[in-house]
Amino acid sequence: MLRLTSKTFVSNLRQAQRRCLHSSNSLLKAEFFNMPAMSPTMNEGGIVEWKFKEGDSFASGDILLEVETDKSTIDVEAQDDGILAKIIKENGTKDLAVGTPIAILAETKDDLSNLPEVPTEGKSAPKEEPKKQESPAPKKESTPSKPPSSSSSSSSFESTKADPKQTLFPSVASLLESNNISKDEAFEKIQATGPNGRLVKGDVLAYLGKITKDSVSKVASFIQSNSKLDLSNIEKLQIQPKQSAEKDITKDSKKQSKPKPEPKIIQQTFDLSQLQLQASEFSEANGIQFDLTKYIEEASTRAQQFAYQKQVIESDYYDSVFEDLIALPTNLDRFNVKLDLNLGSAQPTSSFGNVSDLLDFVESKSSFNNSTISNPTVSIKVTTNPKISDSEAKANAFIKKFQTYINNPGF
Amino acid sequence: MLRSITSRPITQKHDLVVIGGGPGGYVAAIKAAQLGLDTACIEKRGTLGGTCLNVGCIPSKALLNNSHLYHTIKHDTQKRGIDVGDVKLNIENFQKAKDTSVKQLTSGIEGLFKKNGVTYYKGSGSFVDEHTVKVNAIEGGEDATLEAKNIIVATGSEVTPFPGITIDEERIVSSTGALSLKEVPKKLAIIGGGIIGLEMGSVYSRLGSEVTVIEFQGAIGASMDGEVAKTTQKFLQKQGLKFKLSTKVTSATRNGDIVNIEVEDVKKGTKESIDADVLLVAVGRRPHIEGLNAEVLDLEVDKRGRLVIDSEFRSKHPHIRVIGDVTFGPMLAHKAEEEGIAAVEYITEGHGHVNYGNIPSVMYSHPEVAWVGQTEEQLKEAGISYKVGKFPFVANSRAKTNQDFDGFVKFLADAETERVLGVHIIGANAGEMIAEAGLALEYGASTEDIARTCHAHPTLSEAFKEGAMATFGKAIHF
Repeated sequence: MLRLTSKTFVSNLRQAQRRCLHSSNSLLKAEFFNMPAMSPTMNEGGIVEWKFKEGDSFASGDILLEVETDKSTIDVEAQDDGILAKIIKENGTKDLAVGTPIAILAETKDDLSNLPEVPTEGKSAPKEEPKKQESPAPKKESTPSKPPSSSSSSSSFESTKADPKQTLFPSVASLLESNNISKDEAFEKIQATGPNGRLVKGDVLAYLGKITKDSVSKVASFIQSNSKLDLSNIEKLQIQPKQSAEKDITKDSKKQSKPKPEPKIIQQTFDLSQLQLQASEFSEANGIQFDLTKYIEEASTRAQQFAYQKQVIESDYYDSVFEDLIALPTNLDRFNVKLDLNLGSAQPTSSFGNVSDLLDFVESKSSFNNSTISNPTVSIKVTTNPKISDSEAKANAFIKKFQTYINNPGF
Repeated sequence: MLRSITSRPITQKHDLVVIGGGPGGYVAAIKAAQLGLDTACIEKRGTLGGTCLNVGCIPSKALLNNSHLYHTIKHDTQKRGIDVGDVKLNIENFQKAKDTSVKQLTSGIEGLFKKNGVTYYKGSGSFVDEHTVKVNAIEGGEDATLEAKNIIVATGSEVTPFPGITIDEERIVSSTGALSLKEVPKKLAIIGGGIIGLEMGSVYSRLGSEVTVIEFQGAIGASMDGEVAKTTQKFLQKQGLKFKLSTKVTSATRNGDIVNIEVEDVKKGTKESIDADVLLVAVGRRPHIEGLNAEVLDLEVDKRGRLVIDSEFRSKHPHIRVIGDVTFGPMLAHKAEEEGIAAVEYITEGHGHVNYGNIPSVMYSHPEVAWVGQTEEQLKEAGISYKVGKFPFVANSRAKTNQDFDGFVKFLADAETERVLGVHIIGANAGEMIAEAGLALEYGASTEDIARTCHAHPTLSEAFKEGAMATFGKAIHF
């Protein structure tokens, strides 16, 4: 008994399969298994014995059956894992032409109830010859006049006018030459389906009538659809930010668990020397006593009101029940403020260039006081409410507004 | 009136702020700077290059190449007529060689930033509002608030944890830990037969580990063509890797220096326990948006955690674009790079281009596996009739002289137009050779066009040409 090396065998088997399956109907899940050509000269052969029964599954490398040729009997190995779904030609059948379907093989996961139909007796499987290049006399204008039969296909691909500046593919150039079509004529008359108006081999074959225009546009639209990210069926996550975030943390064990939200304390000290200067000017000019402390307290209250609405507003736009459903109550405390006024004893200076760093965040008040020599200051300590996500933003808004009241007093 | 008193400038204005300095982010930043945008890039790792350069593609390639050399010297020199004395592995220097490569490459990117005028913020970026990004500095950086006309989010991905298994990066490791094991484990178990698992499996198998790969699916190699995956598995088995396919892991616990793994055959339900010195969990990666504070802008996320974009990478705020692993598409460095360039071009020119049908994948095992375009399975599903052309390296002269001829080139072309639809290569140089297939796909070439293109002799790439010949006609040498 002869045993072919697996490599030659694989190629033969593959070729045999390919002819009948891949190019004719690749949609079939289960595939015909055809009489393999076990040698270059073999034209027909017989089945000595199937080594598996219908419905049996086999593994890659198992011997499926024994085939006899005019010279010898040969074991046929399975190329892949699968199931012998149906035996078409029983043991002892002789003189089967190479390529005749002899069984149906299925992949393990295939649905066996939906097997391909066995071709009618006597005919060998459609044997697809490689397309011959020798075409009859050049047809020129006669062939391409047929309208593309795109009615049946769902392909939405639109071919474009050929780009006359392109360098031709070797396949295109040789097809044009063998059919006596000039380059200019090709650019004029052949529609391009390649990228950026590039003529591809299929375009010329379709122009010559050797294949249908449909098959050219089908593959072109397939390629086009693959060239884009498929963003059509995005399943958006319904936002439940808190919950999912917490879940992730517990899952992700290598990361340390996040600290619980803590109130954030923002301390800031503002220089009041300019304000004091202006205030005394204002008092002198108008003869009114100006109370700096009161001004600052008022500024703080107004800035808090600016930052968020503490009082519930009555408005037609505003349904408090609805608002409560979709958001946190607007009047929840976002932060609280402590003021520490230090008017000091210093004389207000009139120099305008005395600019200190207002936005320095200080660790503690004392350290700031040390660095301040004599200017009057006001320190604010803002403690945010950690349970509300926007409290820090609101606190910052407050500080900003407060600062403008200090810096641009509107008496 | 008083002039408002200003402090030192803590708000910087930029035309474009890129959050994330991985292959997507840093490429986008450099490209934007080249196109004249005032560009900043925020990175919190401390070094640029992202997962790819620091704990992914690059270090693993250093390990793969050097372990291959070691294995060749140890087992393969005699038949080549080279007698070598005692061969020893110095794991410390072995890891050092990897670290050196990584360091050179990451600092190289910093140099590129300087050269192109990209402002580099070391820290983590988080949204304050839709035009403002705050930088929380890490060591060596400074806190800042950035105001940006455009923002590109390129925050990448992170290792997906396996439910119930605690990764300690010592005995139970992720891909990151697997890159810097201090000793070669006697037994290495790997959950996940994807590219990362198989590459790391290859490394330690060559260094002497007994490697078992546990995969839930019935095949290895994730999205590989079915035939290629099977052939690859055979080659790896020949090298000594063991495979448990259609097998799920029910638990894994560390007991001292041993990891006990309980597995179950998905089909038969049979249970088994495996002991290993090290367990590598390589079940994939997931988008990383932690700390980005995307919630403040209500950026949409899909069920797998990916930031939702439109075809021009825009989030719901059109000036905020998202690229790379943190959004849709394959999680590959070169895909992110393409998107980085395209996103910047959308900003500056209004149009950009990424061909998602032409993104190659490479697995750096030996032989390498590389593919681009469609697999047979995908073509069958789409109902496209196709031709297959194959050429084995055993029939290629260069492969023969190299004594390294496992594998083949496989072409998939449209049955009628012969337009190339996919190319799949297993072979010593597959990762380099796949570039030619990418070019063919990009230009819409047919297999005939490749077959009619002169390829140098004797080279492995002749096998590529012959594969194309086998598709449209017949190969000469097989």
